[in-house]
Amino acid sequence: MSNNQSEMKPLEKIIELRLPSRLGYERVAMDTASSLARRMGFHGDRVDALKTAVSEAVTNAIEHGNQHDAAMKVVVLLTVRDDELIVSVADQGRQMLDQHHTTRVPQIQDILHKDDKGGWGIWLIRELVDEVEFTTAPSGGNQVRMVIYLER
Amino acid sequence: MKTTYHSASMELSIPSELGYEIIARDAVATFALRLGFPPERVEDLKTALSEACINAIEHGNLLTPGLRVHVVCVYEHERLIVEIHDQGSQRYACTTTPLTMAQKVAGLGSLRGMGLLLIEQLMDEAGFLPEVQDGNCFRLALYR
Repeated sequence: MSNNQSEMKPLEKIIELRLPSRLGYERVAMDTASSLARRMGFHGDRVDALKTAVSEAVTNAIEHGNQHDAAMKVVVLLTVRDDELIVSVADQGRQMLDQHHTTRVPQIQDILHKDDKGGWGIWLIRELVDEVEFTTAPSGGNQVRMVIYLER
Repeated sequence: MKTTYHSASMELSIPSELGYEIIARDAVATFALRLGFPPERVEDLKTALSEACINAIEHGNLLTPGLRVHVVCVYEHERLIVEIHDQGSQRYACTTTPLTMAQKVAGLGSLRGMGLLLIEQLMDEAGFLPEVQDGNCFRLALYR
């Protein structure tokens, strides 16, 4: 029975990408995710949403998690399933993400009084994909797992 | 003023399944564009890389489910090197002098096998790395 089940279970298709921690290389992750999502049959607007979410996640990993250390890598795992695409972005955790920041909704009046107008990335990711989870990567760094559902 | 580009590397691993070479092609193309290579050279690279990945999937890994193709890109000294590794169920590096495209078109041999010839035309360097354990490694290089 278990053998039959394992034979019937479709293989998950996984793409692994390891990028340098330099701003600009998030475009490689965006275009890889976009290419894969189009191949899976996602509509253009969903592909655009995914690209933006991936861009934010990888930029956060480069800027905050890896602190722009070019020797550190950002690892992007793209897992293809029949009905969804899962994108995990992991850094090497030079700076760990404060979990408080993963649930807070930024207030525009607060941002206006800050010199740094950033801080919208995590909120944006939550708005753009169907599931988001912030965890610790097996390597010990920060990991964000994003899922988008394929609606045919 | 001449723009200077830093050294950089990227790795990609895809399922050994026809169609996934497109994902590798698009990832490496964006990497090359980011490094400042001109779009027409990046188009050459896309064609060459697609051919090399299809060879790895079809001939190296023999379309075996569950195997992988690894693509490693390193840019240094004004040269982008792209290595395509398969898990080598079969050695497919040519050991005899291959026919030219003209000889193939003239009917002196199979019309298959033009991929390697095409890659050689498009890239500044192309060839198998010798003495690679556990698979084949095909290397491409593009000069700035």
